[in-house]
Amino acid sequence: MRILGLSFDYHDAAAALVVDGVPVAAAQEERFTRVKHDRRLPESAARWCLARANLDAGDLDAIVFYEKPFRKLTRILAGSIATFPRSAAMFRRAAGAWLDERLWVGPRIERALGVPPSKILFCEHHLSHAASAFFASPFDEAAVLVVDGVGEWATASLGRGRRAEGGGWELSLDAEQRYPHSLGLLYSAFTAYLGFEVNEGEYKVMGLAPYGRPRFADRVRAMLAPFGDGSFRLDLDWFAFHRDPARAFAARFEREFGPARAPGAGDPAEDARFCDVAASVQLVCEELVLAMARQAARRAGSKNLCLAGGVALNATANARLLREGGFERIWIQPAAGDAGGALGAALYAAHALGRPPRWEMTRADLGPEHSTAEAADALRRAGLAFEEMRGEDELCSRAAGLLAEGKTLGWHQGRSEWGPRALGQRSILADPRPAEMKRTLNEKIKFRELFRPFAPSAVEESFGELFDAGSPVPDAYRFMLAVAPVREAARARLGAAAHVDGSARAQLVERGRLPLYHRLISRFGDLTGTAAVLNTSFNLKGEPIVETPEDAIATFAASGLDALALGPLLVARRPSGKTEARRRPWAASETPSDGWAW
Amino acid sequence: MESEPAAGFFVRAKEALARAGRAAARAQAAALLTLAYFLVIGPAALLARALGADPLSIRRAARTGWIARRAGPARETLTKAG
Repeated sequence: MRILGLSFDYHDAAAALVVDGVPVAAAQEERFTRVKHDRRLPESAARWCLARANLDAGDLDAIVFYEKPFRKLTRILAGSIATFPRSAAMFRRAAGAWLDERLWVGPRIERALGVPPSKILFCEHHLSHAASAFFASPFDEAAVLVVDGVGEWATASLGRGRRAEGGGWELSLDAEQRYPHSLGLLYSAFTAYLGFEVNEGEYKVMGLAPYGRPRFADRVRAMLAPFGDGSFRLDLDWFAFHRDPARAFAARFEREFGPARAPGAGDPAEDARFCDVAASVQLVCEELVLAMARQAARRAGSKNLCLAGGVALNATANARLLREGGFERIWIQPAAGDAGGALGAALYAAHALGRPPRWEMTRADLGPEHSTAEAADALRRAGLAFEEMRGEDELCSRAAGLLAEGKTLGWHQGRSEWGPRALGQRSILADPRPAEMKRTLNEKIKFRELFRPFAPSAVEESFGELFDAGSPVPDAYRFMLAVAPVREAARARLGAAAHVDGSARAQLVERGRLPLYHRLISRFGDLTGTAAVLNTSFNLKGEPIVETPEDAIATFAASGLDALALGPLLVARRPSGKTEARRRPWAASETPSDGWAW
Repeated sequence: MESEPAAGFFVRAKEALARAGRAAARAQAAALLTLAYFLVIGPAALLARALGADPLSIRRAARTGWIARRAGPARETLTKAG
C-alpha cells in the first residue's frame, strides 16, 4: 500500500511517502522552495517523494492530510463567539484565510496532484503526531503524549499504542486538553514577549534560559490553574492570542514582567530580566511536561513513552523527562513539529487501512540525495577548485585534518535529514575545543545571535566519557533531542560546545547507524584526543538548511566557511580570503505562518 | 512600434492599476468580513452568552482539564474532513 502524507497551511509544510508501512521518502517543502517555514501545499516535496519511489500520483492508494480542517474551523468560530466583540480583527484575518484556501484542502490536493477525491483522507492533528512517534518507535506497547500549540481543538493528548488483539497495531488517544489551554501557546506568548518570532524562536528562549534564574517562576505558575494531573487552565487575562491576530500577550504581561523586548533589539543575554523570564517559563514548561508524561504513563500503565508535538523539541524538558520521568525508555519523533505530521498521517493510515509490519526509525536521513556528478557540475559552474577523494578513508582523514587545524567545514553527504536538526548529512562542522569557536561560528559563519549555543556530535565510544547522559544512552540523543551535562573533566575539551550552564544538546553517533560521520569524528579524535565535533545546521540565520550542492555552494560563498565537502569532493580552501556579498536573505517567509494557529 | 518611455509608462500604469485593484479587493473583503462578524458572530455570541455557553472552557468548574475522546473506528474516521 502506497500512502502519501501531507502537512501544510500552517507552517513547515512537508510530504512523506510510506510504502507497505515503511517511509521511503520525507522532506519539508522549504528545502525545495528555499522559503523558511514554507507553509504552502508541498507540491515540490510531494513530487520528489513520488519520483524517489518511481511512482506517479495515480499509483497512490491514498493521500492523507495531517488534520481535520472543518473541525479546526469550528474552533476558530467558537473562539470568535467566545471573545466577541474583541475578536473582529482576528475573525477578519482567519475568515479571509479560510475562505481563500483552507476550506478547500481536498480540492487543492486534487488539483495539485491529480488524484480523485475518494483517495484523499484526513487524520486528526494529534493522531498524526502520535502516529509519527509510536509507529516509528521500537515499542510493542507505550504511553503516548502529544503536546503542541494546538491542533484542531486539542493542545495536549494522552493515549497508548499496543499490539491489537486481532493482529496488527492499535494506536488511540483517550483524553485531550483543549484550546485555549495550551502549553505550546503559553511558551509562544513568552517567545513573542522576548522579541523572537513565534513558531521559530521558541528554541532561542530555551537557549536563553540558562543565562537566567527562574525568579519569575511563581508569576508564570500564577497564569495557570493546574488540576494536579498534568492538565491545567490558562488564565486568559494574561493573553491575547485567542482574540488578537497581532499580539500573543495582554497588557498584564508587561505590568508583571516589565516592557517586552522589541524584535531585533540587542543581545537579550545581556539583560538579566529577559534571561530570568526565559528561565522561568522554561522551568514551568518542564514541570508541566513532566506532569503530563506521568499522567500518560498512569493512564496507559506503561513504562515506555512516545512523545511528539512541537513542545517535544524542547531538549531541556526532554532531558528532565529522561532523568525524572520514571520511564524505562522514551522515544521522540525527530520531526516532532508539524512537518512530522505528514509522516504520522501516512503511518496512521497505513496501519488503519492495512496490516503492514512495524518500522523503527533508526536514522533521520529520509530526504533527497545528490550524485557526485551533480556536485562536480555545481562546483565547476561556481568556479571552485576541488579534489575528488579516493574513498571515505581519504575524505575523513582530510576533513578531520582541516577541522583539527581550526577550519570550519560545510559537510554535505548522502540523503538530507528529516526534521529540524542537522545530524551529519547537512552540517557545518568545527573543532569543539576552543571556546572562541562559538563566537567565530555565530559571527562569521551563521550570522546569528551570540548567546545561542552549538551542539556537539560525539561517537558512541567516547559519548559517556564526555556527557552524563546515562547508560545505555537514551534514544533521544541519536537525534539531538535532549541536552546532557558535559562532564566536569570534559569541559575544557568542549569549550565551544558546553552551554553556559554546562549542558550540551549532544548527538550520539554510532558506527552502525551513521558510518561515514562516525569515521570522520573518530579520525578527528585520533588527531586531537577528542572524538567529538561541533555540529550546526548547514544554513545561515533565517534560511532553510541547504538541500542541493548548489545551495551548499551558495552558503559556502556567502559565509566565512573555510572548506566544503560535497560527497567525496573536497574544496579545501576558499578561492580568496573574502566573503562574497550575502544573498538575498530568505529569513522572511513570503507567506508567513499564522502565529496563533487559525 | 512604441517608444521605450511610452512602453514604460504603460507598464507602470498597469502595475499601479493592479495594486489599486488588490487594495480595493482587500478593503472590500475586510468590510464584508467585518459585517459578517457583527451580523453573524455577534448574534451567535449574544445567544451563547444568554444560554450560558462556555465554548473555550473558561468559566466551567471541573476537576480535570482532560476531556475523554470518543473516536470511531480508525478507517471510517479517516474519510471525514471534520
